[in-house]
Amino acid sequence: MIEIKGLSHSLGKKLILNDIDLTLNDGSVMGLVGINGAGKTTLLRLVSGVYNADAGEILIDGVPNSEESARRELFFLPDDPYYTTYTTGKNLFDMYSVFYPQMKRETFEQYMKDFALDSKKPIRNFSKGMRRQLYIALALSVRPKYLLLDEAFDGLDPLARLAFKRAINTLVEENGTSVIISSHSLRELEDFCDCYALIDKQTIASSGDIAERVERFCKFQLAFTREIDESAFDGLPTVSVEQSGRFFRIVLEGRADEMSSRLEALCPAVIEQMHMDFEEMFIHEVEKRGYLK
Amino acid sequence: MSSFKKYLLWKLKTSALRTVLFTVLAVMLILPMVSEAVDYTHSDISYSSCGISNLEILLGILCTVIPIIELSGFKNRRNIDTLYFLPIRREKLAAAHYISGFLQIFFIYTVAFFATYAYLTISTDWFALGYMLPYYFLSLLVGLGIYSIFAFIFSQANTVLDGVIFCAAWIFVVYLVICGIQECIIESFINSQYFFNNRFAYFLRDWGLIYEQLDSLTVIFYDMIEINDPRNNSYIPWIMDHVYMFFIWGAAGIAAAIGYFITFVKKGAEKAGEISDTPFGYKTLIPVIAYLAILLAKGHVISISLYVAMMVIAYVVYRRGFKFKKSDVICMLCSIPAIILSLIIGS
Repeated sequence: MIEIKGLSHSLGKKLILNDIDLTLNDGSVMGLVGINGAGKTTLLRLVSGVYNADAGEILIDGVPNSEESARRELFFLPDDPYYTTYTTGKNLFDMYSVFYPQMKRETFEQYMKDFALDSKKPIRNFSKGMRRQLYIALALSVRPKYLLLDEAFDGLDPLARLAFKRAINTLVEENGTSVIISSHSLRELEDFCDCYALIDKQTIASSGDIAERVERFCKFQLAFTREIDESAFDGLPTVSVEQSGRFFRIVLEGRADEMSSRLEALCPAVIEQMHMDFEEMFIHEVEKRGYLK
Repeated sequence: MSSFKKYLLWKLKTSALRTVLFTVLAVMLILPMVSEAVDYTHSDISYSSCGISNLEILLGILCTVIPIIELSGFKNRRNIDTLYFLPIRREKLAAAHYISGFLQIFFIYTVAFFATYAYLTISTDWFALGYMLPYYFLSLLVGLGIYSIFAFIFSQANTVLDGVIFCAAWIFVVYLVICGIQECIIESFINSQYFFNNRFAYFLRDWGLIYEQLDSLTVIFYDMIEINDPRNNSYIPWIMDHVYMFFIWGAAGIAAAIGYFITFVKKGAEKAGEISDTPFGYKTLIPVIAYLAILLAKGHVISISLYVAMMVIAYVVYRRGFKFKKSDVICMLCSIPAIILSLIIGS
């Protein structure tokens, strides 16, 4: 279990994270979301030990993350990993296997084969997506107990994304790995994350189970035979209302059956419940906080 | 095997090709010079032609360049992301890079040294080569001190370019400070005749250069290595009277090594790539070098103008643009009293 307690960190004079408390349970896959510059990468760097926190503590299975024994259980895949002109997949495997003796060359080569990559070729010749796949192959070969992924889907084509998600699911099932993954591809996160943490204004603005959170909202499409305006929905716990003539698309906070009956009272000609996903929930969350408007 | 040992071995393995290339290059450059030297008549040879001074220059260069190569990876934020999360404590990471760098120097220097030694043994009997072994060990010790100083200076910077500039500046800055004090204060305002004739003044000035300890060691040992040196080198007993200078630089080397480890462990990874705001960097070097250069120009207007322009350029490099801070502007304005003083000294 990763426990973050009272974590604060500044970059220069700018406060990035303030008094963060967060827990990642064993075997969980957490999606770390937030607008650009919210502090997602900083949080991952702090958890992985790249940055030393200004205040607070990060415990990995009860051991501070500054300890070697704690970090031996953890692997961090940054957004844009460094490589030199002559770095190859083989070189990287050799370096990481120094610290992670459990890494097996055959496993790594198998992942490389799956991604159709040559471990002997210099990385500089790889496209962004291929480089990302190579580092994913390394991360998966480590089979860490805790895997931190920053913008992991960036540059991956749809097939590679699918392969990656499957590989993560297998790792979680077989190895009990816990994953924190930051991404702006919220639809991808929804597919395989069981919980999320939204960073906003230097703190964890909201967190919890994705499905439970999404179920707190419901979305309806309505059509009326008469002219009405948005004020007709006053009194309802509306999150957003989109109007196009006599058609409305409305997001409400509350249980779908209860909201449906309250909307029925407005006598719409057509009422249809629509699927609400994590991305929409995120957009409404950030709109509520004053962004995007 | 501990993660430290494994990482050190991996570091050595990955730098093996570079080390071998440097070694081949060093031997290829040194041996022809030694070979040319032994073609001279005995009375013509000097320590600069018997190859020892080439070894001294090689060691000086290695102790400056290798820490820059070895530590430049920590000036790149992307690289730090891939290194600092690894399960190894920062102290061990610092030690692995420090040891790896010095082992590379040790290997290159040792091969070049014993190649020279072997060549001299085979080709001539002019030298008492038994003295070369203590010289070898002592020069390595001095080299370790120089290496530590450059490792510390480079570790202070946040980018490779800043680190290279700091290392280059620190080679001369102590020398410049001593020159400034001697020429502009003591010589001009106290007792010029006394200081001009005082050998100690020049001695002290030379020892302001980081490499002087290596050069003095070479001069001392050359006197022993060359049998029947025809010259009467009165400099040797003079150095021996001031042998404490080796200890002063040695203490500086130890302090630098400690400083390197503290910097490596305490310095936040987020500093990589940022403006290098260390007191051992631009903040101190620009005003010190600029004021001293202006004073040492002794009223020569063209030189003063050039130094003032260079100071402004240095601040542009420091801030990576023209967004000067109030402290920079104050430092630039403070050059006015230095200019006035320079004009007074020159008149």
